[in-house]
Amino acid sequence: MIEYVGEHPFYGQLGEALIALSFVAALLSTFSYYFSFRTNKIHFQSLARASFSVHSLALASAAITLFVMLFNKFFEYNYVWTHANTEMPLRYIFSCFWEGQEGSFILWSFWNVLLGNILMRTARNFESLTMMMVSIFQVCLGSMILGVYIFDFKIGNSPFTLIRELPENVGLPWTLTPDYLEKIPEFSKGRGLNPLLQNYWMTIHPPTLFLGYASTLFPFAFAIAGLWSGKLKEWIRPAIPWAFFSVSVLGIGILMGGAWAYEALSFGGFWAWDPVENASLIPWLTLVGAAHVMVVNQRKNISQYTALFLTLLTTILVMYASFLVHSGVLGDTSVHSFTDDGLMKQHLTILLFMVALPSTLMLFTRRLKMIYWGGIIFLSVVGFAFEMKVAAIVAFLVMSVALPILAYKKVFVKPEKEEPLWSREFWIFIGSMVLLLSAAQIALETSKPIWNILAEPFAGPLMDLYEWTKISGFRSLAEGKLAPNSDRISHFNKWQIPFAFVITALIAFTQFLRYGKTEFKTFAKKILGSLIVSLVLTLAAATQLSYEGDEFILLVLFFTTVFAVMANFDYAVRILKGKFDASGASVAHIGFALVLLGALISTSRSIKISENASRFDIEQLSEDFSNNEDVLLFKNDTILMGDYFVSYRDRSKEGVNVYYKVEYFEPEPISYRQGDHVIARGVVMRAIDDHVPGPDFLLDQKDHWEIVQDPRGLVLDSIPRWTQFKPGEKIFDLNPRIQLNPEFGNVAEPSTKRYWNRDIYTHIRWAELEVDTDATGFRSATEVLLSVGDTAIVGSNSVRLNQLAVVQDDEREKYRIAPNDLAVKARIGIKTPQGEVYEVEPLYILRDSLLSVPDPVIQDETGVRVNFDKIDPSTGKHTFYFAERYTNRKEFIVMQAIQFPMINILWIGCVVMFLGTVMAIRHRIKLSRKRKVA
Amino acid sequence: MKKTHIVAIILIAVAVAFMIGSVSDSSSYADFKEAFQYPEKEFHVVGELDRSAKIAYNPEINPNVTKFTMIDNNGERRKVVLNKSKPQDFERSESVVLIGKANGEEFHATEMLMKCPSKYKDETQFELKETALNN
Repeated sequence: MIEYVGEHPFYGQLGEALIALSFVAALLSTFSYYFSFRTNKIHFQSLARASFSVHSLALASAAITLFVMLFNKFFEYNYVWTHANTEMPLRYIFSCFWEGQEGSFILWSFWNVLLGNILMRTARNFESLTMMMVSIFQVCLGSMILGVYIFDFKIGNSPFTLIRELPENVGLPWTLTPDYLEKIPEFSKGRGLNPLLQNYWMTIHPPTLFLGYASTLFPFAFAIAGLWSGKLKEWIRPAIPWAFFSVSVLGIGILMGGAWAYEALSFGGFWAWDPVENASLIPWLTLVGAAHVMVVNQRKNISQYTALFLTLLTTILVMYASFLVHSGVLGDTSVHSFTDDGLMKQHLTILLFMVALPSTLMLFTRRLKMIYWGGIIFLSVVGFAFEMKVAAIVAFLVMSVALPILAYKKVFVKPEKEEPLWSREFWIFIGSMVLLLSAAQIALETSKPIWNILAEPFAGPLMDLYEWTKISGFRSLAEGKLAPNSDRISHFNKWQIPFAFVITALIAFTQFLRYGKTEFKTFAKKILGSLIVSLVLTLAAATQLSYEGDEFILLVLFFTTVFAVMANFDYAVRILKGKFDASGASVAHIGFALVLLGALISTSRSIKISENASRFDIEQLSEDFSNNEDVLLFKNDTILMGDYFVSYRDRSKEGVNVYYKVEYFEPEPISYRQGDHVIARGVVMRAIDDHVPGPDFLLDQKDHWEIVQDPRGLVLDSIPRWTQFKPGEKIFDLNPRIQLNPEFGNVAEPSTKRYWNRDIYTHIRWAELEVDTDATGFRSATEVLLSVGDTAIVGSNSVRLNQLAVVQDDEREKYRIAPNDLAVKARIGIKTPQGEVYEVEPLYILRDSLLSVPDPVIQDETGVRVNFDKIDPSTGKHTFYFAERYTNRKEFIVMQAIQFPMINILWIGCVVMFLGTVMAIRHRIKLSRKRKVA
Repeated sequence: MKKTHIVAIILIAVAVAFMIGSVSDSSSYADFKEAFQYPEKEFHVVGELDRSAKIAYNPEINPNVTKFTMIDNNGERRKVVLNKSKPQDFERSESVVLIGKANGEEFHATEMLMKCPSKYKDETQFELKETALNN
């Protein structure tokens, strides 16, 4: 036994023991709750409660242990070393905690424990079954952090593993050195947190999102309990507050992710339809559908099946999201790339179990259950024995969907009468179906990497389908090469905008319908007011924002979102008479519509104001290429960009951050006086009269300008170019930064100026962080191969090999060449960005026909050094080295600037929606208490 | 016909429409060989940066163009013109995915995703230096 120096083995052992204890206690709780349900004996319930309490304590203590380890930076532990480092401020210790998968599972599990304890005290006669479900889920999550081996199969990854105990390190010589912590320098300092995550949103976004994920388990648990005990209606009422709590928290968690992306990531927006973002949105959509259908069910005894289906689906989708994000299957499709953590199979098993459990319960009859499980056993055997795992999984999924549909008709009796067309319940049902479709579209598109895997056994039929339809996607799928749509954002928008306008329209008018039957006339009268107001606003917006032509669909969405805001406001004021308690739903709906409205305006009217000001038209290169992305700014130059003049002033370094100070100025119209000279269209012009220029020189030329026929006598260098504006008053500074991080790579973080009606967002796309110069003050040389007549670009200049000539005898003196040297001179033209051309004559000297003598030539005006290195008569391409003087180039940055109009509507919407759901939940809890009393 | 049936039919129709829409709107992963065979089609090409070749980025000339050479998974090398500024730490990238079309001898990419190795993979492979052992 080796005594290691400086290790803290106690914490790791404690942590592992606590995880094991919490796992066992969760198992015990599961079984005790099961027996408590079957036997209805009080001692089983007591045992179950006790074990869940032990589980809770153990898990919370494990979380604290991990936190203490991170806080004290015990770098001998893998999790600590990988996620923390010595330079990190305290607030990021929290981010470290949930950066890794192990920590995030502990966090998730911890929320379940917290909510589970509330459920245990409030669920009453649903306690046994709901708590059993919670415990089962805790067993599943616990298994992901267990970190034990059963034979060769590893179950879970423990966050309490020492680095020297990692399988890849066991047995290495250094692990047998007692004082390895002191001897290996890497251990004195952890690797640290990914710089992208070092943002305050990252301390609150993941916990909120995981609380959202965790909370979906609770409506699910009620649904399972309802199915298991046959109380197909009774489960709904207690589940409603949970469902809306979940809607609220998960929704806010998702939007926080958007806020983080907007502030810290540099893709220029708050939503990019990235697979990882989508994975969290999909269950939210189905959950919103479920929650609404549940409310309807309380008033009218309908939609039981839909409520069950959507509730169960939501939690399955949450597990699916976790699987997508963590298993590495997203691979190349996401920028939030994750690699396989080695737990893919285990994760998949849990996911399939989460499908199998509700499917089994939804079969109701013993016979169907037997068939289902017989099928599952058959498929597992066939899948493993014949290496047909994918086919087996597909068959399992088909069976899990098909059998419950068969069972459906037997249990759920159809209502005798259909719900009337103009009733609230009908349109809420339609709404939930639209949400389901919207979720399905996102899920299908996001799951393309999964399709490739699942399609593998069906390559043959898919090829046939391709032959028949000529849709090349089927062939790609057959070959396992289906890729996401190249223009992901517009592809998603194309599908989701129609869904969004149906949903917002429903949000607008459905509240005015009663449960049961509503006279169409009275209904129409009620909504007419807000309809007219919204139409007027939309028309005003249409002219203001100029939505036209193919953007008609955006205008429709604009109308429906405004309509939703107006109608709900109207409803809360006029129908509910502003009663605070009852208007939660209206407030939440207003918030949701505002989020969509803000997203619509800010993204459809965002302007990349950093248009390319370079001389080089890249659109000529390829029709798919565009110029208007990034702009080059030399230090202290001021250029017109969109509605602003911008100037890059300076950079400063603070800690790991390099800040770039960019100033924005108001454009101010120039006024020209009679006799002023300008250069326009390559000629010197003189102003005929005093005037304020228009937008185009050509329009002004006739009335205000004359050509100076003889510009001699003028100092040409001091004549300005014609412009309409000049930089006026400074409006604001922005300080985008680059975070230097040798471990993870440097990361650019934007800086944003916020106005009430627009944001101006700026970030650095490229900047020269370190300059490599040699002792003589030149940058490192670039090798260029040139034939006579070739042009190449070197730094900011372009160079051309004009001519090659052997140095004649009579020139030897001029070039100072020794008698037995053979020399060839190259005439090289150097053209500056301003268009001036200089010529240099570097020599290629061969001494005694053997040794080539270096003879660098420096062109002073351009600061370019040329070295003629090699002559290659066979290819005609000769080798030159070009280097630029360091002081030659001014410092510059390449930056991107985007203006987002009205994005504040979105953020206000987030807050309003959150407040609305809180009000609604409070109202629901009050209602359910009242009913209990009654 | 009942309303629920109409709704069901519409739901199924929309679902089928976006299944087909999704497949027909898809791009496809390919190697350079296939991409240059069908220059009119847009592909996703996976590969890695050729570190032996130069990454040309001349922001003074054009800040929106980066030129480099990529080796696809079959080892085929192609010059790439990317319509973006040079990504931070491009040199460190482990694998890149180009989205674009073949154009003559070059591949013109409008979008690029890249992965840096140290970002997501644990590197807990330490070495104890010889000198340290002897001390």
